[in-house]
Amino acid sequence: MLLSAITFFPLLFALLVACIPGSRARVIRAVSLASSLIVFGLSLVLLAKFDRATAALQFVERLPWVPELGVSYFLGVDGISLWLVILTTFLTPVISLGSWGSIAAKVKGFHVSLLVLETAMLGSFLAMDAILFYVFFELSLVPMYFMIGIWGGARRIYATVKFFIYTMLGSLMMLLAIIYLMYAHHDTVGVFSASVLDFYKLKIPFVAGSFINPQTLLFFAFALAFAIKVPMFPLHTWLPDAHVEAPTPGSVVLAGVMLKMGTYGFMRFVLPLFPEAASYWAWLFIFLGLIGIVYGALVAMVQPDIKKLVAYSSVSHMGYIIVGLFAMNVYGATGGLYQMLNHGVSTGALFLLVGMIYERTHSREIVKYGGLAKALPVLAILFLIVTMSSIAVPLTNGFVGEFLILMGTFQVSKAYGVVAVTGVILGAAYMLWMVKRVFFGPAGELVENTGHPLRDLSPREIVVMAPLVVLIFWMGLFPNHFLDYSKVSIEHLIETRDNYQLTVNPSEATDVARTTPRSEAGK
Amino acid sequence: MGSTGHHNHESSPVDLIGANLSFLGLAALLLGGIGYGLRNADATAATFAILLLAPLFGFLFNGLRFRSKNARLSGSVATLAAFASFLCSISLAMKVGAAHGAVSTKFFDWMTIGDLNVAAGFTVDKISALMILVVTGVGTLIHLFSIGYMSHDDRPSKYFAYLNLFLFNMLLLILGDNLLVMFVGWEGVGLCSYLLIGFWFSDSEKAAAGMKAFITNRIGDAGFLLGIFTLFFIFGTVNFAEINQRALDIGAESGWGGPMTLACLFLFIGATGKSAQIPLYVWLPDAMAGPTPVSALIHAATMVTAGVYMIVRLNPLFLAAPNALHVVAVVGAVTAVTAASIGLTQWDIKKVLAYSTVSQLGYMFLACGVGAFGAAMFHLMTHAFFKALMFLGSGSVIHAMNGEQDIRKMGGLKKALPITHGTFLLGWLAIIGMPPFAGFFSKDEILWLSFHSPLGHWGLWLLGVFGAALTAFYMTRLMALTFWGGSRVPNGVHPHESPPSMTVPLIVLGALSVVGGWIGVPHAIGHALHVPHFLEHWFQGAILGIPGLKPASTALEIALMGVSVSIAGLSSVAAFVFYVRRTELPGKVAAKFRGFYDLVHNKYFVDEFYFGKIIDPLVEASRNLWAYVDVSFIDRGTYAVADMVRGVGSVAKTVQNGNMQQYALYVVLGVAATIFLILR
Amino acid sequence: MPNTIDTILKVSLNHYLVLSAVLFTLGVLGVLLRKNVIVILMSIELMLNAVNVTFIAFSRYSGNIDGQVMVFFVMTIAAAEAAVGLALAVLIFRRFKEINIRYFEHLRG
Repeated sequence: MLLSAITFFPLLFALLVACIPGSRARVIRAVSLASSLIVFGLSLVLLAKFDRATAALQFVERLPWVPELGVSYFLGVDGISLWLVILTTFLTPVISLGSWGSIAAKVKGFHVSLLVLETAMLGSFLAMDAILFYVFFELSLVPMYFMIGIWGGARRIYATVKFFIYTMLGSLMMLLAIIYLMYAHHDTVGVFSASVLDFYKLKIPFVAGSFINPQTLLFFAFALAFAIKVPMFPLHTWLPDAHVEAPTPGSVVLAGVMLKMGTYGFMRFVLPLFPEAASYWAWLFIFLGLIGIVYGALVAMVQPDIKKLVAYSSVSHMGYIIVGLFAMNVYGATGGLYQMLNHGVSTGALFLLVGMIYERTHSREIVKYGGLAKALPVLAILFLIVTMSSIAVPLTNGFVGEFLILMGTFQVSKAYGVVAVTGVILGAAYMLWMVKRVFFGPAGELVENTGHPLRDLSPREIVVMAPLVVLIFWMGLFPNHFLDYSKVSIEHLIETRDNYQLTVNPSEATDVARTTPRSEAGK
Repeated sequence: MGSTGHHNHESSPVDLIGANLSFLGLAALLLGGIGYGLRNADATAATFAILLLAPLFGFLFNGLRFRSKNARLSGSVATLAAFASFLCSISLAMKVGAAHGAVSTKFFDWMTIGDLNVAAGFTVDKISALMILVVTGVGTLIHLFSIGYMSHDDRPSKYFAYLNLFLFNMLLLILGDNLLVMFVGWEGVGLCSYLLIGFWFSDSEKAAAGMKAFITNRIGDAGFLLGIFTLFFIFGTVNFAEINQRALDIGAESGWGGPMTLACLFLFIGATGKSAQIPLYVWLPDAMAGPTPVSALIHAATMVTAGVYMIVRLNPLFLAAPNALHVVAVVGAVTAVTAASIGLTQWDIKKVLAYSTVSQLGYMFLACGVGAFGAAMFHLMTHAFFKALMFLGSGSVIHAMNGEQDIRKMGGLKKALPITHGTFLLGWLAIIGMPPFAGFFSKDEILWLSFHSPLGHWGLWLLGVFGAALTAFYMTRLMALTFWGGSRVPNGVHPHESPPSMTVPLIVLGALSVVGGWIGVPHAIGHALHVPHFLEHWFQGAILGIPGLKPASTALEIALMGVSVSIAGLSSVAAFVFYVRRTELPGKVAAKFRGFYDLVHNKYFVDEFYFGKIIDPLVEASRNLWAYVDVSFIDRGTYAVADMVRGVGSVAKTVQNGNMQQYALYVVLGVAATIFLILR
Repeated sequence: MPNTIDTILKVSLNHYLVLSAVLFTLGVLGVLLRKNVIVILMSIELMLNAVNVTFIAFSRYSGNIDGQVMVFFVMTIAAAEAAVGLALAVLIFRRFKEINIRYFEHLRG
């Protein structure tokens, strides 16, 4: 029941928050924060009970949903999804507390959206049934749509529609592919099933060098959905718009967790379900990932808007993850998974800090800044720390992920490695140039002429940032504390990818049998 | 904390409580580190822990009270931290001496993924023992010097925090027993360098200099990373000892494309970044924007020698890749000459010293390139003494001149600054290679081996001697313009000798610049005087001998030595004539060779080339990418798709135009079609 | 007039159906082509009555009264429809001083 509790508690709390009168903003904020903390606590219980010696699914829950079609309510966690779940539950209270400064109107609606979104994101990471996954995956769009559309900036409608249509388009392709797979299961086994575990057992015909064969088409259908979500070059243009228009907490969720749903999808579905197609087309994805790394960095360098710069840096960072995953070796995949967490922590922190700057000066135009470090020293220190994490200076989390990814890439090909490594240089260039223009130099017009002295971080804001900063160093100094949980799963994925099977943890198997009427029992 | 009075108004109680709590936490951390070592009854581990954690503790102590203006307290804590490290270094060096080998410890496993197993492991062998002694010793002196130098600054606490953080990272770099821990320190020192160069960040140019340093270093670091990957995929390990052992087992590679050659070249790219060699040296002169003691510590004595240290650390590997060594030697020699020539024309006292540093680092790489790794380390050490001395001396001058750095506005400072002048004089004699000062022995060893080593070449020797002549010239010019001749000090500036906290380090370094070279007296002289080559003996086992080195002819060695010393001597006499006796001559010469002078004075337009041909076009291209690819192409493309959908819709919607008769027609047609279908 | 009666008796079901078809086609053409709402309403009546004719004819020839019952329903609906249609026509006329069918496009919203 633990996974269901983690997944649906936020939804329950959302209902609770919805019952509080909208005028009681403080109560709403407090309840929302407390509930996200409770969910975080639950996820820590999950972490404590997690068995890191096995690659099998754990804490499995399975109930029939639409037995005729083999669709079930099927949750489970393994080393690949575990940290993403923790990341989600960890970031939500941070975002909740961080939103106190940036969300002043319609507080209730915002917190309800946030909690519903948390359920959707957790559900996507935990669902082991393709249809259930699809439902959560799509559900996450709705609260995000409102977050950008209601609390966003001037061009919020444009941005939110663009965001919605882009992601929706990809997901529809995925839905078609899922339905195909369900039929394929029916054709080979005789019954319908939407369980991902059953999908893994299918042998989908593949023909090298041609597009029109089932595995290649399915591969691209899934890959398109996730590539848009990640987002990969050239499907990335919704991201900068969405980030710029989204309110700070929206940007943090978007960058921190939602983009990971795409890379997680690659790890959970694309690589193991379509092994031949994934190997055959890996070059394309590595190529696009490399373009993303370099292109994202170059375009980030010339952005006039801080937030847009950070958004393009996400494109670059997510490019690393894609390259790491498609390197298809232990280093690349481990680095990719670690980089997902890093990006969640450090880009989330960057967006929070940019938001804090924005709340003080009401502008994000880089040229209007300068000398902010003198006015806001604590903020500047935190920004610098997060920058170091973002550009992967060793002893911060970013380094571990980036190093492993680069190593995995280098193992595939030296040329890929050399191209990917240029991202290290360009990353430093765009971030430090921005830091220089915003924080250093003589005081710019926004710092000089605000009319009132700029206030350095409040205790609340320090509390928001503190856990992120602690994680930045913790993850940089002791990556094994985190990777030990995922090692077995990743090695299992990489080593047996050609014939990947995921089993349910044997110690829970009896439990599952008792609670799960077999889907064909109805026949 | 006597500082609280200064900043009560700007620090909230939360800050203070937080700072104090963190302080307690840090103390606990430090004690924990020591306790960890003691619990395991491992004195070595405890020594390592204190050696590394003392500066880290100093960093956190000062960093958390960064608003404090109390230079004395901050500086004392920082200096004590550095001194504690120095004591630990001595203890470890003695252990290494006693054990005739390496002393190692391991704190925890850092990364364990697949075949990659990186431990936070540290080791001191004879190479790193020398290095930590230099770094912590010179470091302590510079910390001490800084107390006086930074006493009037706005943020002394922040300064000392960065300085200690640098020391911590430098020690990681030196002590790491594998490439990755070294890389942690490698990037860490780069970060501190960035922070310290941009210490006075309100000045846009200084902030830009810091950024330039970091990004240029990053180019090198990218090469370093590629080197790590190459080595890991050849040898399956990143541990220095294992890499060196396997390189020895495999033996020398002959071609250019071999994996070890490739790895060495990648690593050398890293070294050119960190140690300011062609083509990545451009950041170092700009780095002089930082406080002068920083230039002494980071940009002269320690950090910039990291590249040399790395190559020496991996000397068996580099010896297995002779072609890579040739590249190292040529780049080193060319850098030595190029930088020295630029040094001839600079007017900023620190810029002259900066180009001098680049040039001297070139000598160290030249030494590495001809296989004389011991000589490289030797020169690294002596250079650390005399260059730190001269930078601190220049700091003392700048301090005395109220921040003036232009040597055209100095002159005749000998009287006002007797101690600074006296010690600077020793540094000058050392760098131009006058016997028996420190620089003579180390530079002579490099020149001799670049001629004599089978990996060397007479051309390299010639470049080296030419560089030495240029060095003698520009250093004499610097001495003459700063200290000798008539005074050109502007009115209102009254130079005064610095306080003892600044002069004591000068005197100590001055003494070291004299005697530092005596541990490496060349055999040609040593035999006659019965002085052993102490350093060579020390390095035995840690540094491989040059393969195929033939016994030397003493007469040839002494002859070459005589040639280089006399050329350097003549060159400095010439400079003395130019800048003290006949001060009109430099202008005339410059006028005569106007074009060439401008070329050199403008540093061969390398910066202009980098900005004009690489950086600006890249930024411009990025703007175009954004405007054309993102906005015009991808977004327009999606709009086009959207417009297509809309177009289909607008065609379809004409069917439903509200005209009822048309609707009725559809019904009729539908019925007709149905009837037709049924009756067909 | 036995001849006439004969003739009447000779009228077969087909004759009624043809008549009905002709009437219905006239009605359809009227609905499709005429612009005057009143005429269109009349044409609709024509169509309904054409249907009525077939009902009656089938009823007569199959000896089943159901068809004649149906006709009453159709007539009722026709009346109701005419009432609503004429009401709309009156409103259109009040607004546009004309009862051209194209003004009904304004009901599209």
